[in-house]
Amino acid sequence: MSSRRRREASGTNALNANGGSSTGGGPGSGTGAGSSSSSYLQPFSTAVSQSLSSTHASSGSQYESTRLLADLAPHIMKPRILAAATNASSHVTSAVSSNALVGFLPIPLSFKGQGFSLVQPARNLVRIGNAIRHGPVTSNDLLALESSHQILADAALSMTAGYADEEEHVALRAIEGKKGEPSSPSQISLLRGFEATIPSATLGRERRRKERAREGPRMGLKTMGDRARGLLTDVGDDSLDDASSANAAFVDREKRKEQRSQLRAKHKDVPLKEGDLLRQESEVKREKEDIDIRRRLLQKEIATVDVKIAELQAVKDGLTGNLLGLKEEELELDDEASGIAEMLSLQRHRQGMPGAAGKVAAAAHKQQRVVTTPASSSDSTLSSRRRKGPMFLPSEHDELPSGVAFMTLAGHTAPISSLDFSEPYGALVTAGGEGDATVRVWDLSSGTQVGLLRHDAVVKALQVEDELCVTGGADAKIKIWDLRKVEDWETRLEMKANGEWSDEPQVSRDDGERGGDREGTRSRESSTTTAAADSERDPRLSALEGHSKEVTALYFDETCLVSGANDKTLRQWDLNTGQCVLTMDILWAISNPSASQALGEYSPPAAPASPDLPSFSSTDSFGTPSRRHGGGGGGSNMARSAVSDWSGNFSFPTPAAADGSWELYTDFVGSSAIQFWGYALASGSADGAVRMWDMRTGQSHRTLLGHTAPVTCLQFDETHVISGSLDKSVRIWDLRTGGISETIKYEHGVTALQFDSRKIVAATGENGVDIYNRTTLQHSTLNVNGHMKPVERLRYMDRYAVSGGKDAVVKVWAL
Amino acid sequence: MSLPYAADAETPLTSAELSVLESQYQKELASGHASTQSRFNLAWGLVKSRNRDEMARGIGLLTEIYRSDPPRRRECLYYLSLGHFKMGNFDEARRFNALLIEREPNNLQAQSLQELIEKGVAREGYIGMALMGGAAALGGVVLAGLLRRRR
Repeated sequence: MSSRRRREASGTNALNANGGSSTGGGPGSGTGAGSSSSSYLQPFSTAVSQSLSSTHASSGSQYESTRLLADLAPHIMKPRILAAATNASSHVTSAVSSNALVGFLPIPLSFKGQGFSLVQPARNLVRIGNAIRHGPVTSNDLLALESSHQILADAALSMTAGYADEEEHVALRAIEGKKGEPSSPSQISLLRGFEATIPSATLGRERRRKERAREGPRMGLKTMGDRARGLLTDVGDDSLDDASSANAAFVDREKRKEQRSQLRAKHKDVPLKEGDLLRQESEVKREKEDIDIRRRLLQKEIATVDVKIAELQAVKDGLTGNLLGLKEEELELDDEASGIAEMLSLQRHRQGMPGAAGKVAAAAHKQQRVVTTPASSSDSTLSSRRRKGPMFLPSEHDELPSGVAFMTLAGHTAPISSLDFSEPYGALVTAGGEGDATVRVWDLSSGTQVGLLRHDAVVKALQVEDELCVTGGADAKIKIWDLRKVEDWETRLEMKANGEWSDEPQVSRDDGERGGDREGTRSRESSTTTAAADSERDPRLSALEGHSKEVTALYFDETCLVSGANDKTLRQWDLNTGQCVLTMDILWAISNPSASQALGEYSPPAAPASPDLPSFSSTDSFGTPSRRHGGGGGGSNMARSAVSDWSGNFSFPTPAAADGSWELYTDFVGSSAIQFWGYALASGSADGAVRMWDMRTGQSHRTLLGHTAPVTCLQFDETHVISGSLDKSVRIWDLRTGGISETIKYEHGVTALQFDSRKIVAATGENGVDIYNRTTLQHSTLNVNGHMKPVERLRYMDRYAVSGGKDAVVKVWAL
Repeated sequence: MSLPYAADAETPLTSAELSVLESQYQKELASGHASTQSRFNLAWGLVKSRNRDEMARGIGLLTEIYRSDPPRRRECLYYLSLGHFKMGNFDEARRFNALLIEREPNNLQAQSLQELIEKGVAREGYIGMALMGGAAALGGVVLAGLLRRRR
């Protein structure tokens, strides 16, 4: 077999030589010299490549291994084995191409050829012959073939799909010209670039220089230069020069001068021929073009690198975004951790208590709050009320789409003036404003109203903690309610109204009226049993009186309650005794800034007045211009003047909301602008100042100035105070420095806000609730299925938010 | 696009020039970004050489350029076709050239390369036919001798 092959090879050689001479123009592809080696691999590699090219799409690693195997152990790589290997790894249906043997059969490899053709096997024979001559199959060979086949396959695919855009552009702009002509500005042919950049391009310059150079006697310039620079020169020269004294040098110089003059004479007779000069000129021109081309090439490379930089920059931005997301998650986990730690400490505290464990201890602590049920799932905490940690939300809550209002509670007939809820899917209490003096209690798990709290006045402030609800109304009274009794009370009232009352002895209408009377005239009841039963079941627990004007803000924690009213005072109450223990006079604090260490330049702002508001027909409450002096005729609100006059009735026109409506804002203390912790109290008032009070002394020890309109809402934690006001901004104050760390501007006045470590949720006078992400500094809005009119009040716990708007509707959101 | 005629690929560069191109390419590679021009310079120099290994390496480089620089693809098609033609892989050469001609039917160099490839293929075919004929004749002779011997 091998002898036959050799004979074939020699035959091929002879034929090739003949063929080479007959087809003179063809390149001597077969005449490449190569070392001898295992030639039988060549057809195998070709066959393998062919089969591989058809299956390259499916298995990338497979043909790697077959290729390696072919390199290492060629003798086992018979066609059948190869075919089996490629077949086994792929499920290619074109069986023909995977069978290497086919190449030797007279069947055409591709389906294009119809007949029985001898061409393919003939050519494969020749290839074998060539392979014998050409030497071993190197990795370069295989790489070249492999990548070429990949490209061909890709190109074939892309042909059917359409040309690539860039190639089209190239086609449109390419000029088909003779060599050397610079093509369109954007495209330089590779060959031209080759000619411009190969090293031989620079040879021309040297050659020309040589031609222009004059041959003269050697002056030993190089050694002179070297010696001048301090370098060592040839010893021989040195010694020679040293040996020869100045005399010799002198002689040399003379000789050289002679020679130079001779040369000059010579050269005058024999200048460079014109042809030479022209040739040099054209060469120089071409080389200048070369330089231009090289410059363009470099510029294009720079542009490519720029594009790469931009891509990398985009990748970097994406990664930074991921980092921010991580930070957000970390903050969330921190909150969870602190919430859980609180619950743990509470449980431990309970366990430590003697007697009937938590029940009794808790009851002893809070006499006002009747805790009959033991620690329920939503444990009433002994520590801070406003929990930050994870709430117990039903698992279905996670399935709710985020940012969509999934529950709407309609019932009020006027814009919601205040709202609060005990826990997600718990009890919600909402108060309607002017025109709807009702306080409604809703069940958030069913979305229905369960009853009313009959405060009998417009309630501007309320707070709910577990089953306790405290409301402050326009009647200057603060009432405390037990929410658990509301439902039963409603049914009782209904039954009484329907006259179905049979349990108690029949009461006269008189009694019935008094039974429903909330004025605490229980003692005057004739039928004490009814009254006693009634009072037991009445959700209203007690009332606190003391303010002289409408109560507009309140905040309570355990047994301490602080309320703010339009009489410009803050009162602290003890809920156990029902007595006012401290009164803090805001007006006094405004007028005596020296007493309170105000931060920053403080001049008491003037009472607001804008006499240039034409549409408004003035009433008494409008700024009392008669009593205002020096307030600045320009009528700019909050103009700083030496004299302040807040003693009159205060009112402030709110900035126009998104729908253009505005109203008079008359609350001296913003309805959500009170919060305290221990004995540190923060309040926001109509003069735009946020004041920190010490409840032990009753003095305001710090004033944060910055807002230019009444502060409507605030909240603080250990490091920050965040306040929102009608000056369309939310300010974040840093408690450690006392300065503003951030100001967020909005389009309209801010009427409610709540924050945690990651976000600030605010009602900013638009139909959607604005959520500001504190890590990414981005805003988002809750408006899907949202309000039709601006949102005015909101509260959230964990991922459950409730908002009330001017459209008198309450919506519940999943955050 | 100015492309070289196939004859241009037959004139190899001196080894000195080739080594300069090689060193330039390696230097750029080491610094992180090898520009298309220097890669092409080396690839073209390799393709022009007489050494099969170098030709194969040149083709490999050209395929790299093809992949990484889409605007240059048409020129690369031509050079790839030329390279394969020089190495004797007429199938690949024909396919690359076919792709090129589809996109630029009026390209003179592509057309001339097409002719050359066809000539090469035909020649291979003739040689192969002759071989097979010779083999068949030889086989016939041997068979006849065997039969005669048996008789």
